[in-house]
Amino acid sequence: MTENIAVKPLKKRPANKLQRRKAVTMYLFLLPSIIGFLWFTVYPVGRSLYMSLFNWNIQGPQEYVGLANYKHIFTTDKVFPLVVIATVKFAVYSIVSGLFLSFVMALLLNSKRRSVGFFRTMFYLPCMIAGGAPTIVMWAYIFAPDGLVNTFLKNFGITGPNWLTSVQFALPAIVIMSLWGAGGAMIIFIAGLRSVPVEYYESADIDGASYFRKLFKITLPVMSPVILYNLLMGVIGALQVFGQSYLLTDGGPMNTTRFWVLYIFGSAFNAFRFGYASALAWVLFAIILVLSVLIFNTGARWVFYGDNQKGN
Amino acid sequence: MLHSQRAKRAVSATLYIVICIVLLIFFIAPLWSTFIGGFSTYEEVMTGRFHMLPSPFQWNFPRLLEMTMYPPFFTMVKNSLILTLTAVPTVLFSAVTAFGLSRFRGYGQNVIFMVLMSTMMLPGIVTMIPTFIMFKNFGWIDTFFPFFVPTIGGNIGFVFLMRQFMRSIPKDFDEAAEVDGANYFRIFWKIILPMSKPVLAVTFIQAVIGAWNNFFGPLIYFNKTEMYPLALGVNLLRNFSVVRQEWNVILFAIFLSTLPMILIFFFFQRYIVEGVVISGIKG
Repeated sequence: MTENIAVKPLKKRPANKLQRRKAVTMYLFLLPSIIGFLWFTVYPVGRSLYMSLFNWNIQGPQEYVGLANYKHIFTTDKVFPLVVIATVKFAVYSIVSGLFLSFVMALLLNSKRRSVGFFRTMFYLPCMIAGGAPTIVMWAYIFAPDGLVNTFLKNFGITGPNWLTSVQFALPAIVIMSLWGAGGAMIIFIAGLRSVPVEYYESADIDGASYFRKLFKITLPVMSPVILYNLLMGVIGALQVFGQSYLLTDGGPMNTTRFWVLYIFGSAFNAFRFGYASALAWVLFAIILVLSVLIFNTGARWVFYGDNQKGN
Repeated sequence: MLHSQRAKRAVSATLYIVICIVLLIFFIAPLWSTFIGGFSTYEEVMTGRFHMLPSPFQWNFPRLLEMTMYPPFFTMVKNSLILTLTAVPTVLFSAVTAFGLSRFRGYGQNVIFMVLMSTMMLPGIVTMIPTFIMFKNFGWIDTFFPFFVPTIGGNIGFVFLMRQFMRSIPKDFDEAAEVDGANYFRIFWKIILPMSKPVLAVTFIQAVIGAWNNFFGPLIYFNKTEMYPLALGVNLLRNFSVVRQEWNVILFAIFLSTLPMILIFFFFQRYIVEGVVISGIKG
């Protein structure tokens, strides 16, 4: 032990000096991101956790209440269960239908047809602007009682509902809006499909396998890492849905679209209950964390990594 | 045998084109109707009597001019443009970070990378509330500081993409430059950054689109309407028209505010798609 300490520095001194200078240089490069991380992530996260233990309306004094905010969320808050239902409903509907739609689109557009490029561009275009307020407002027009959707339905003799004010149809309308951005996942799926080795299909063809057999035995297993990625991103994104309900339904009708982040936003910036809003945000954070870990761990069971990647 | 195969192919071709056209209507009809509606009269929009093509003679110039008076449309355009400028420091700081994480060995940068990556799971709303309070105490409400100052941390998604790219640049370049007496800042600025142009383009376009679309930030940091970017202003227009919602005017504003992004998309399509693909496949 003592020998080591005595010998090592002597032997490595010239290299060490250079090494240390390199390390200092590296940390100089990392300095902005470390500052940013401490200032805009670590500090706010800590402050938020601290704030969740207080009642505070931003102006007056902070009143320490311990875990009362958390207790209130899970016991006496009448709106919270509705918020959970709305958020979970939206997440499940939008993720399941979104993954299905984008996967089908990817399968369609992974052929050698000449029109593939055109359709890919057109399907992808909306997802670039789908998150912005202008296109969300556009949907208010499309889902209006005599808007585009209902005009279209009238051609088939169907009288469409007033989508955004209907208890039954407001959430589905927002799910449909989210499907409008399915092009992003589609592009990732297409890239994944391209990386499936052609030999797999060739040998399956020799065996006379049907299209669906190939789909379930080759394509889906090989694509499972990409599906996992899209699923994870979908869950993280869907649980934070905000703009659609803020701009179009304001959580209504009857809280059927009062999503979690909208509820947090309202608690903070409308009701000025900053402590309570922080507690709500932390519960959401915990859920996203648990879900991500869960998806990742169960992913090890159903995700197939190619032989050459097994080491990773 | 041959006959049935040909029949099969015909069926699959028909299926392909039918599904694609249905999807095309779903993805494009909303935008197209916005475009048409923006060039229609109020009566046409409200009765749903649509033309398939825009009729320029229907332009309602007095109304559109009114729209540019209040809320001041060109002020909103200007504000949106200022906000998109955040793309520059965001990309630059991300590149600096990616360089630090990719061109050195040892010293624990992998731990730093993992810590930074883990923040992607953190919902934005958790940090949003304390950050808002902090900026409010700084007196930064109704200023652009809340948008420019946090760019110092870069964008972790961009850092990931750039690190991936920079790692693929051979170390020989750095070593040769070091022998010539260049320090790491010169290597970064003169060698790695110019060589990373493709990934810089990808992330810059994404940053511009993100900043243009962002309305959560403006919503909480801007109180004065003259600070509003288009992303907020369009909605303001909707709430402002109390008597009747002049949908032709609103649709025209939506059309104008999404047009730049659509143009960017068509010009830089290849870069944009590439960025999405890299982050999805290598992640």
